[in-house]
Amino acid sequence: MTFSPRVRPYATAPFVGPHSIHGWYGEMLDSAGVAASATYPGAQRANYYPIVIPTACIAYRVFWLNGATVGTDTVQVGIYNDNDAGDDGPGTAIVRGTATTSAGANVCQFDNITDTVIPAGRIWLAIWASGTTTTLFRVAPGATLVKGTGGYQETGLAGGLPATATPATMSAYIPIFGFTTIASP
Amino acid sequence: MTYSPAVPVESATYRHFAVSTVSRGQPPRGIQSATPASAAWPLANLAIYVPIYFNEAGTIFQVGCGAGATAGGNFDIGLYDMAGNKIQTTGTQARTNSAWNAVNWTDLAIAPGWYYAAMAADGTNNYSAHVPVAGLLEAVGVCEQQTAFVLPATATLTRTTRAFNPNITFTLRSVAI
Repeated sequence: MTFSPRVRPYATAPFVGPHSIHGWYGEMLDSAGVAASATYPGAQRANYYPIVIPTACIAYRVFWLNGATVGTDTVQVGIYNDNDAGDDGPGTAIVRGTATTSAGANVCQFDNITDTVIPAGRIWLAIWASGTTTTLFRVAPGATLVKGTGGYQETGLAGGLPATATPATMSAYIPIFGFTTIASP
Repeated sequence: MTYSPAVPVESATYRHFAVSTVSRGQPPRGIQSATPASAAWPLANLAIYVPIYFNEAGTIFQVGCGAGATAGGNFDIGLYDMAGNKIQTTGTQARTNSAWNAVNWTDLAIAPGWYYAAMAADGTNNYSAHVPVAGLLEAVGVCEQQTAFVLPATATLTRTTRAFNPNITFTLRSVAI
């Protein structure tokens, strides 16, 4: 006989991102509106957003949702630990995807990464772009609301996402991006 | 002294509730807050698969969808596992316009977890749906399959770029512990 509990811990969603139930979810929709296409806010800038993973999972791919205009920039997505020093913010990288030229308007673009175990608890999703010609779907909650999302930004990252994040400024640009816990589709 | 559990235990033997692809807590609600409205099914014989989460064990005894004003058409609603294997479907059902279409099916016991809520239609009649900007549903894992009416035994899942999240609803009874 096996024990099958009636209620289990919430399992991690197939597509995980700031827009998923593990992140800001729909909480910003009323105040910031539905995500729309917009240019990336700064060249060589990383944006970090906290999410809470309820159960350990495997990340197979990272992705971002390209906007209406395909730019000439490269985009990179990564997953970070919570700050190892105990301060609010991201810490060391768990896994980083490959900086890839954006392609395809209004569709998700995927980057297969090494299958990586993501622990339960708070982690940070990071996205970086080399320039500002790229458009992504995003919400922009505004400076007075941004703390609710916990987002940070880090500039001057010519080489892409860093091994250790050291952001200092809040970010009011929340793109649709993240990772998948299913290998396909 | 009386014992008061942190989580109340249900007093009824059964309670009924519904889980829908447009419910708060389900993936599409992270990108769409508007009220569902009547909209044309995107393509005849198209199946749409929406990730859906059941947070506790239960028995699905009824499924349903909302239909728009114009008469005609047939639909099929089902539940699939995350690998695309059919668990149960209604089979073809004649659509009643301007009404909630409820279908009682064989009681289906489910375990908590992620599934695909599936629906196919043989025409382009109107159904109750969220119609967000194209691309957003792909970002929450919604899939589709063409030429898939009635719903197949095994889904061939392809990410959708369409802007249509049908209001597929599962009605459950949950047995008290």
